Amino acid sequence: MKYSLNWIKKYIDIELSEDELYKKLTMSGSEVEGCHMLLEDISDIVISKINKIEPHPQADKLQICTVTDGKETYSVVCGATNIQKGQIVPLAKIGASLPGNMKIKRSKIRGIESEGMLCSTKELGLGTDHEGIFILKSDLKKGKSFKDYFDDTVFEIEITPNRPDLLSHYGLSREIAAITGKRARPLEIVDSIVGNTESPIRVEIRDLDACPKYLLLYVKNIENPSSPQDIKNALIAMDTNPKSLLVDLSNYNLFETGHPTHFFDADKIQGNIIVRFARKGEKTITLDGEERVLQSTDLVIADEKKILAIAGVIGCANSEVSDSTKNIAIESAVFKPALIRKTKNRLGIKSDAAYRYERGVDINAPETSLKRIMKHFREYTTFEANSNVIDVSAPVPAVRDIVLKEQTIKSILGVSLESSEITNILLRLGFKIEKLLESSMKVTVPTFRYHDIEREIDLVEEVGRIYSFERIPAARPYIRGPLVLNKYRDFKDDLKHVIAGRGFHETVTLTVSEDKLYQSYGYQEDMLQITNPLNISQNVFAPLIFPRLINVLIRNLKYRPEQLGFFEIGNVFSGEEKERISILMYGKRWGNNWITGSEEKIAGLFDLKGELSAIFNYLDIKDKIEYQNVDMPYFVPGRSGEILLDGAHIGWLGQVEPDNIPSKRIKYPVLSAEFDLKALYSDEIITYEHFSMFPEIERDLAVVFPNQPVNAEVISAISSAAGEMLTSIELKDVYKLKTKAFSMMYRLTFQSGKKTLKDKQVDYFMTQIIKRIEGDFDAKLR
Amino acid sequence: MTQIAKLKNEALELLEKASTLEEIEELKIRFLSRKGELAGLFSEIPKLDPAERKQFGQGINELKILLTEGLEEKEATLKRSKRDLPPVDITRDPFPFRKGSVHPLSATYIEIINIFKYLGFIVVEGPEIEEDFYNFEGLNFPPDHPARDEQDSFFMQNGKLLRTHTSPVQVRVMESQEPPLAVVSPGKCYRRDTIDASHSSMFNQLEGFLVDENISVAELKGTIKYFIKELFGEKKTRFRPHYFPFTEPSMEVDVECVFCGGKGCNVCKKTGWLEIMGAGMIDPNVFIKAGLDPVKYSGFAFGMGIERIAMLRYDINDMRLFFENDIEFLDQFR
Repeated sequence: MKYSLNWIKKYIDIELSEDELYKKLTMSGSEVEGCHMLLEDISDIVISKINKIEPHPQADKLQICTVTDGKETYSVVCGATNIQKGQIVPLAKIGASLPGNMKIKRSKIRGIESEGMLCSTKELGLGTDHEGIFILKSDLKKGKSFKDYFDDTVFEIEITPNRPDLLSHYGLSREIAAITGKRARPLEIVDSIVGNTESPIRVEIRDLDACPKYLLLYVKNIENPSSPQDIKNALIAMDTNPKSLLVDLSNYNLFETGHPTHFFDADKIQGNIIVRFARKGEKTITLDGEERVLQSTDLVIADEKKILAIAGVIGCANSEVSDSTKNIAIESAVFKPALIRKTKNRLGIKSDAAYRYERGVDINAPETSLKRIMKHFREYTTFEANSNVIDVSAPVPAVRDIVLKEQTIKSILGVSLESSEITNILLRLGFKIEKLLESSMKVTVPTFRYHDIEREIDLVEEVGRIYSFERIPAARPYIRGPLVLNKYRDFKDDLKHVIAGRGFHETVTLTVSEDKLYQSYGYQEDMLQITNPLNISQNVFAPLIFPRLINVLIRNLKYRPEQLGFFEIGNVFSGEEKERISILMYGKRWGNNWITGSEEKIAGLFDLKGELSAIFNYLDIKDKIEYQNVDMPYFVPGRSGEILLDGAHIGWLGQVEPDNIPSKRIKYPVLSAEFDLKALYSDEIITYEHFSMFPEIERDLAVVFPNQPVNAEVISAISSAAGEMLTSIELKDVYKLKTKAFSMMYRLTFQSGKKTLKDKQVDYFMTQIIKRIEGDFDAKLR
Repeated sequence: MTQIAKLKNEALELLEKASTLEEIEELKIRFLSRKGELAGLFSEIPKLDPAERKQFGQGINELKILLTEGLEEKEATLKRSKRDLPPVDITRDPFPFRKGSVHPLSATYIEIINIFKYLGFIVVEGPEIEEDFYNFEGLNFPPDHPARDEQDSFFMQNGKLLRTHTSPVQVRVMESQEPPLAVVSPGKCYRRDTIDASHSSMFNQLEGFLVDENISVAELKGTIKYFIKELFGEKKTRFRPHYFPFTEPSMEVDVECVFCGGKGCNVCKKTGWLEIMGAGMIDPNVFIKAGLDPVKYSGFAFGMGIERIAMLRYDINDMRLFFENDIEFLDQFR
């Protein structure tokens, strides 16, 4: 919220410098986020006196004024009709700046040179009146800068949601008083409001829980002049345009006391006021000209025929105060915060009143506000009569007392405070205190703090923040067990470094993304929709990662068209939320340079598989991983497969279908693998196995298969036929013969852990293997 | 003795001249073998006057060591020169390789988590698609309260929401485990914020909390100050009162601006301070909702934005860079 420093100074004397004040506020929980001078756009405006007014020889509507700033005189052409000799007025000299980037230059107006300009409030940014010159009080000193009298510091504070009591100048003054040890002057109000006429309007509240208090004041035949400059200036500092006294006072009261009031044109109210819930579908047109369709949870202020206001949120056009208004009815009420919030959020209305009502207003503020407004009426306008305050309210809530133990302060804040210090802080904040036995006290909460001080702990915070957390000594805690380490997190961090070390860049892309992206790559399942997306490009929680890695690839082709690799670890939702990893490889595995000459290697699916194997090897799960040839919609037919861990599907790899990729820059295969991450993690400790000291025997097995066999099946057949002496099988050569036949060459390694193998034994194993292969695959030894 | 000196001169001269491995081998046989010339000298010893024997023997031994070492050294030199490999220019480019990197947000997480692990905190992760209870209600956010405004949520079709902070993990852990608890929880969070230089609909947070008997603001400050010192070095800090529904008292922690040293600059908006986290004593209502006794236990909690800290660490001025994944950006990190 914005505050005017001049306004604050009406209630409290501030001896601190502005910087010190802001620092104190910030360090007590009201963070000052910035400040500026109200008239920062203005320069070179001086207070001057009109010495002479002569008619302009060339124009009937213009006059030539001779003004003085006490030292020099200036001849200024002016068109306003409200000026008289002897008046004090603001003069913009040659070179002066005014709001809206306006500069005053030496110029001739209808043949007569003007040495500056006399300013209206509008030209100065202080009002809406542009017809007349801003006539100043006669005691202002000639030659002084206009800013000396009219400038103000406007500062902005982030008021946290728990402190609605600070959403006003008086409220903040009270807080400043507490943190500086001063006293705020009481608001000037009338002692009491005594009626001398009967209000023609009565009030009925249908639900005292929704509206615990409703006061109405009827004022008859009231004049509605424009406000005094003082009030106008205050409102302008709050970015609110002054209109007329009645409208301005309602706004002024809101910024001054934090309490919203509503002024109705009493003659537009038909019968009595009823505070009730709207009927479902009931319509009304609000002050902003919008038609609002209401629901049965919206509280309204109605008369016997129509809705006059949406309670606590916004008034309606039908009962607005206008120029012709004679009699008014002023509402000063309390509404239930949650109700106001629901209504304002559903209708999307932001109003100063709703902002305060949804946070909670002081239950005692309605009376004070009416008395304050009455004081202003007596000062600034005339009226024929007023009614008594019509008061329809629920019983006054009980006084709130909280027992505060000094021990609680010590155990939460970690510092022992003298009882007198605690008392002093609370008294300054407006609490009342009664000492109890055993180092405790009964603390009575002022009504303006009812919305955030409910428990002992809330008082501890008050004491802590005013005492200052800065003064509490720091202590390193002793952290006790038993605590179970999360090695899975370490595993992930470790894995990131391993993959990065293999030449992939880790990415972080937005999980909230567009369903179309995944569909465009062939994802066919339902996705978890966001019901209130900000925009359609973020309407689901991602079911996959790799389409986003392709987006990253496309984005980066302009920098690195030849070689890119990315990976990402993140959560997806497909049936359930789980963590996955996606790896993308593109372009050259290695390009040409002085070593490779013209040779270069474009990464293919088996380069990616090599990377996966290296990762699985590192994780010590290589032996548990299997691959299966499976066609998937994301990939080029015949160029993808599933990854299985201990026989269970965990993911896949493949060459992404190029037709699905929306970029013309793609010229190499886009290779992608994506799989569940958690499954890969094992906290099993590796058991060392004795390695064999006996020599290995290698044998090559060259076989011709009638059709292309599945390598995994051949290997599985060889392994099961060979027995446990077979320690490794490597596919050394594959080529397609002229027929459909395939020739495959495997290198088998045999080794025993107990003795040196003899050729004879290995010959026997080989015979078994060949028999098996020939039988299973109809293959022939080459 | 002259015999030894003579043999020494002759052998060293031959060693000097030898230029092939064959010659070395010949010298080894001639002088050092069992029937070689040195062995011959040894056999002379018994013939000598007993008074001279010792000195003579020592002389031969010294010569033997000298020759053996000399021959071995020469042999090694000749062997290496025989391979005759051309020299290379090691300053040339290596065989082409692919460079990778860990994302700066991950690197920042690792750095931060390591500090807390050292203090004795453990890591617990929670779901991103979360229930209202854990995200709001269990954290003492009253329903329909303006405190929820600052955490505008994405609601999901399955009735859950995307967590707006990592604090739900607090409730989840406290619900399932008895104190003492010392936990940090990293992870992605989501708010309905339009993306700009300092906002994103997805961002990263690290939550931390310590719950035990007799934990106070003093322990909170000690922990946070240690953390800041480890991460940023010796910097001034300040603990500024604030409001969060789930802590009471609540505060924000500012660190002396790392760019201007507290003098005031554009990054710190002329204040000299940078806000880096929210913190506070866990509200008794949070304990009650999680089924813990707020009289027996107390604790503190804190939460920080990882992007913010990474931006300060690496001098990054726009949050969008983290999620755009430009290679020219990523490449600058390890």
